[in-house]
Amino acid sequence: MIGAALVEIARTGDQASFVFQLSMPSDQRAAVQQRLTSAGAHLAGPAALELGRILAGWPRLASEVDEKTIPQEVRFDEIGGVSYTKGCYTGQETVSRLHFRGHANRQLRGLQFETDHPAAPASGWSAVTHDERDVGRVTSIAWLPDGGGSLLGGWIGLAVIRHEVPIGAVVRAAGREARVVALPFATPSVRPA
Amino acid sequence: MSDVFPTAPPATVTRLEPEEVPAEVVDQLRAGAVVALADVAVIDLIGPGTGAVTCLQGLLTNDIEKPGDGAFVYGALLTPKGMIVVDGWAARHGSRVRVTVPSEGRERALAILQRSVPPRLARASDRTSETAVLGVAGAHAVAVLVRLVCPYRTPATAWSRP
Repeated sequence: MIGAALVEIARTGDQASFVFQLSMPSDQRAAVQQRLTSAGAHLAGPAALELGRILAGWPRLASEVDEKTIPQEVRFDEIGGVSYTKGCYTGQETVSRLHFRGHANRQLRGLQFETDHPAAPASGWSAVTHDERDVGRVTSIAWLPDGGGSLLGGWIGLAVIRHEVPIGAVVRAAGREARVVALPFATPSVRPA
Repeated sequence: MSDVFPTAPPATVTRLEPEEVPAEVVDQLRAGAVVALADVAVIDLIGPGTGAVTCLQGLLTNDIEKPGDGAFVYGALLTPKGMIVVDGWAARHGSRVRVTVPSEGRERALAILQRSVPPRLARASDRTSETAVLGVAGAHAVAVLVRLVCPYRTPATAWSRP
């Protein structure tokens, strides 16, 4: 219970983009939010969770995940989204075969846009090219305002690109130069003492 | 598209413009705690005994049985060819599993759960309209929840990780 509200609290693992999920009857949301802010949390809009997702390098349905995406292409191994010991489930043959006998042709990577003067990557244009070859597509783009550590004041993004494109490569993404970086993004956090 | 296993929607680029996330929110993510309404659908899978867990175990990429009651795991429901239909989080609470999926994936998740799960083992019901889901993120999220729920305990002992 939080106050008079019956709240189900679930904690994620270390790699997740959020720490807790709280579910409750809709009519008790305002009261729970008020208690959370009184305890020190900052009330924000859904975009805050979305930015956290991008920084953590997690996939989103209909952005990173389309109708042809298999789990290993969008970091399911790294984020702990698949078990190789649990036994059968729908679609398991493909996932296991890829794990034990092959590799994903595409990988979810970070993009750090390189612009002296921050300019928005072009909208409606998601192609990623490297050495004049089409190597994938941009899936998410976000402006990281001051306060984001080494990435402050810049555009970052996620892209699903061919696995041959190495970390550190400079690609053309959504019409801008961008450097391919490992995920999650390196944003230093300040932990409690 | 299969009737039983619909495919994921066509992809679009998620875009967060400069005005959407103020600098103070980024500061709170790095050195504080942020609470926000999550844009998700909520589906409860309820059955007698372990029916709900057993059924979801046969559909989800992750292991929902092994971690035991109280588990909270991330995974996806796939097509028979291994492509993602919808991803989400599954939370075990006794004979019920609460599945939260992105709101865009609500119909697909419901379609799979309602058509693949035998009613004698478990039933899927959409709780989205009556349930609110908040996400709490940030370096001090644990400290905030501890302060709120069990102030007599320390952050280190209040919640064990899955």
